[in-house]
Amino acid sequence: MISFTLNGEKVESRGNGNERLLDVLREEFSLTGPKEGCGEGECGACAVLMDGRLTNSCITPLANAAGREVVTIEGYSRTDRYRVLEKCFAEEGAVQCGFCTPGMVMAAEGLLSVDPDPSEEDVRLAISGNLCRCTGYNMIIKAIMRASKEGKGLW
Amino acid sequence: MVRNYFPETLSEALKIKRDDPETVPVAGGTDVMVSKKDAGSYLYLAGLKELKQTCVSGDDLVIGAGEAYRELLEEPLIPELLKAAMREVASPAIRNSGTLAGNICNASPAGDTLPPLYCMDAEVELSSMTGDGQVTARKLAISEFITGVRKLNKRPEELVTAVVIPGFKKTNGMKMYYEKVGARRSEAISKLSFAGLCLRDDNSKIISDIRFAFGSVGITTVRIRDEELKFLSAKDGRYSDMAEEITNDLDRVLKPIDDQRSTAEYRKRVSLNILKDFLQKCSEGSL
Ligand SMILES: Cc1cc2nc3c(=O)[nH]c(=O)nc-3n(C[C@H](O)[C@H](O)[C@H](O)COP(=O)(O)OP(=O)(O)OC[C@H]3O[C@@H](n4cnc5c(N)ncnc54)[C@H](O)[C@@H]3O)c2cc1C
Ligand code: FES
Ligand code: FES
Repeated sequence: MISFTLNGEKVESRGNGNERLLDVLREEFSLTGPKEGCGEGECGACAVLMDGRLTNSCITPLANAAGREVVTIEGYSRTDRYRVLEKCFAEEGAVQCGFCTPGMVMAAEGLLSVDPDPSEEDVRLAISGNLCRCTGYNMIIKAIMRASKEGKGLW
Repeated sequence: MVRNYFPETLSEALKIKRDDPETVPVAGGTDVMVSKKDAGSYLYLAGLKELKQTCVSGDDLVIGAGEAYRELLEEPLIPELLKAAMREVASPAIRNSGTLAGNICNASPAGDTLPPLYCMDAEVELSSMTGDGQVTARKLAISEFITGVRKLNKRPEELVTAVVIPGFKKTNGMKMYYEKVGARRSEAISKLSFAGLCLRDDNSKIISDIRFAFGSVGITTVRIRDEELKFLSAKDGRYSDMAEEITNDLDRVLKPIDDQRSTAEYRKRVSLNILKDFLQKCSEGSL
């Protein structure tokens, strides 16, 4: 059994250490927010936070989650920070099909938690490992910039 | 059934590696998990605190094998040249998990940290456990450790425990040059890369040390000390003339290949142009 904290709760997984964290989250814990895009670390659709840091769950062995704090979009959506990001993403038109969105929001949190007042360039870098086939990125960047202003004090 | 080992201490990990030498070490897993070759067993190193330490020992900087890029980028002791390369690796998420030692052990001709490590004469510390439970360690120059594409001069029972930068303060005092050419800003495996260091006295205009190394133009990183020494031997500070000779020499030496990321011709031409630019800037003192 591999134990870790998942969205604030202590859990134990029956999975093998070499299983992909993504599969364990989606199948054993029914958390389908993290998506499988490429399965090779290149698109960020599967991104979660581990100890507050952006991590691609498709290339993370379950073993590496042992003893760590894992947060998926499901857990994150219960926070005030999320509500600001949600509003800004919606109002800036940063969501079209939505497949990339959980990963984009996780990447935004990964940035804002260490840099609450980022430049546009910082935001571009922070989401550089997340692919979006719909929006052309500018709306996502605007949304994150705006959230950093409207959510002042939250990060 | 796949076996998974979760050692809690380094000596436990070394014992497992001694008793099951075929087990595959996993650090950040960013290469292992993508390769999708199923191994019979895995040895997870991410929980080992002993490998997560970076310290100064005499003139050496000793970087723990378990340190991820993210941690090293935040560490003031790490030489700027190495940081310049680490900033260009993959994406933020991968820099949070991927390790320097993993990049070395992956032994890819396109490994981005390798040209800086070659320039700095980095060494790899290999540890193992003997039959009677003694831990022994040896150090190898990185150029002797990596012998080919995914080929290492490493005994099966050994683990990499540290990456050592000897005399790191001296290299930190040198001017640096780094260039990575990829298809796009992020997550682009290099088409080619180049790292250089130069020590020039601005008063006398004498260059007393120079190092340069090329990535992705051969099966391993290319660094040729004789060419560096040749440059330093330029008479009466006529470095610019020597630069041309060096570039011609390298034209004969670099043997890139065609692959899905680039062509041999492109790689060679751009690498030589970058070399020319570097040597020019060293000569002028404009690095
Ligand atoms: C999307 C994507 C983009 C990438 N982009 C780049 C890039 O731009 N530049 C680049 O250079 N690389 C890139 N990589 C490759 C990879 O991220 C790096 O090589 C990384 O540094 C590997 O570190 P790791 O800790 O994840 O290694 P792991 O996958 O854990 O291990 C890599 C290899 O090293 C061995 N190993 C690890 N630690 C030890 C040890 N202590 N002792 C003995 N053997 C050990 C493993 O058995 C394995 O063979 C990319 C990978 C992905 C998935
Ligand atoms: S699915 Fe994990 S990065 Fe694409
Ligand atoms: S909104 Fe469709 S992939 Fe980003």
